Amino acid sequence: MFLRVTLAFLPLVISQALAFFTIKRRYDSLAWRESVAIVVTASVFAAIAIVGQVFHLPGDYAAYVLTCGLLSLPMIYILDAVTPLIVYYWTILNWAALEQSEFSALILFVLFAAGAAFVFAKRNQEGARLSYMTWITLITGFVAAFILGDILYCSLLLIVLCYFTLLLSVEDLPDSLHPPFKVIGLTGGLITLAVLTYSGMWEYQYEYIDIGGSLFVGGMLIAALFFTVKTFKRDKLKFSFLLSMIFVCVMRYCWDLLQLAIMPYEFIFMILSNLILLTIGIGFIVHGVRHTSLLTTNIGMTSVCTLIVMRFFDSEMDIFWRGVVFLALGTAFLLVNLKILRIKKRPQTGVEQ
Amino acid sequence: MKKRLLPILIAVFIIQLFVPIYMIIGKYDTLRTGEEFKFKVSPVDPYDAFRGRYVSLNARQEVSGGGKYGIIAIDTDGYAYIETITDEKPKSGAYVKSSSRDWFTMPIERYYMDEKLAPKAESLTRQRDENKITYVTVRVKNGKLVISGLFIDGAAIEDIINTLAD
Repeated sequence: MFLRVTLAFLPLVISQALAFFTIKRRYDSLAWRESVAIVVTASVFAAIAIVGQVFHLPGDYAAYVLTCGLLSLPMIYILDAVTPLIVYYWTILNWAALEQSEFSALILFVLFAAGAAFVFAKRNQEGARLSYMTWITLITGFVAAFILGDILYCSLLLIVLCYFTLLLSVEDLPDSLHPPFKVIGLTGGLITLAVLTYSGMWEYQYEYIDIGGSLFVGGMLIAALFFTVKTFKRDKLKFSFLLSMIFVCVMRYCWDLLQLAIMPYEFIFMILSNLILLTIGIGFIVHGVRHTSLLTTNIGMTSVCTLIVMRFFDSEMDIFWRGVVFLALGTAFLLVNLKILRIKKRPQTGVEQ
Repeated sequence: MKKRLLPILIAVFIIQLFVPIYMIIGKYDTLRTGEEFKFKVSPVDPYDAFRGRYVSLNARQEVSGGGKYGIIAIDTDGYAYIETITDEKPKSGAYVKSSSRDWFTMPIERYYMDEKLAPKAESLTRQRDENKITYVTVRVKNGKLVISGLFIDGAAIEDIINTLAD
């Protein structure tokens, strides 16, 4: 037993000595900081696991991962290391998913904030590390929102749509932070909107309303609305898109709070969702063609095509006509892209002449 | 910057070491000075990704229900079992604290073994003679329970496997 306990502590003590050495002599080396931080994290996991094994402790997996995660958290800040941040996020998500209590929802929020605060503190730094941290944090935030929705008996689609709206609405970010916020917010938002166009998504709901969950989603909505209003003067397309997303969020919020999974409301909400996604898609296409932006146009085309293809699954359309519609969509994609490319080429020709 | 970090780092190291040491102190004291009992068990062998292979154990329980503490009694053959479950901490006698919050769960769940030995232990216990009794020896003190050995008819599981291997 003594040997096994010694073995449990040996890697931890060695990794701690390495961390001490890194702070004293190698703090300027990113490689040293990152590698030592992950070694300390792994040693904490190993030490607690071996002690549990030596004494045949019952397997409380949730408590184990949370303990290890919390003990590793300071290493992120002290050694200014990103790699343990992934481990930390993984531990808190595992813990919250297993605990499933209202109290754990609150704690998850605080624990996530403790990790995200590190990224926030580094927001003015340049480089790939910041972008990498932001991607990880935003993806973790999505999973955390999903778990929170499940714990707080919220509509999961509502809570993730609010999250994506919030990401997309945030302004005044350093340049390096724009891609993760934009890509996750836009892609996630459009996918969630597409899912909400299915009639089945409006037919079933939790029969229990949780006050904490309703307040949490309400808070997210107000924050998203606040940031959306700020975008009005800067970007009209973004403002319109965000307003549409907020409208769907509010619609879903009312559906959830007022228990409206009944006819005719579920039908009305489904039709409205379809119309909103169609309008968003057309709006993107028009804006993209006007400003000769291939990316914006293709986002719009993809949204409209997805909507049409999704309706194939609801309708009893004949296979021949499905084929015709597919071909028509492909042709439309091609023509719009060709038109934009021609418009883009025009000024260059003028310069040559 | 570095000077400010060092005291924080040392404080963090102390906490990192304290957590496993705290786990050991309570368990080691129970192993040394606790009262010994034998609980009949039925083993199966799963795998824990973090802690390696173990024999999963189901301890004998005459009663079940909600409550934090299980009061230990001894049957005529000398094996221990949980006689009563209560929410109030018993003032005397041997008792065990539940390993879960909502429902009384005996903290006899896992017996960790060598990764190669655990599957052999599992097949051995599956093939065992119906008349042979599988049990764990535990030490109990102030509601804390620590498993000290897994036995089949009085022989330690490790000895049986080593004998079979020879």
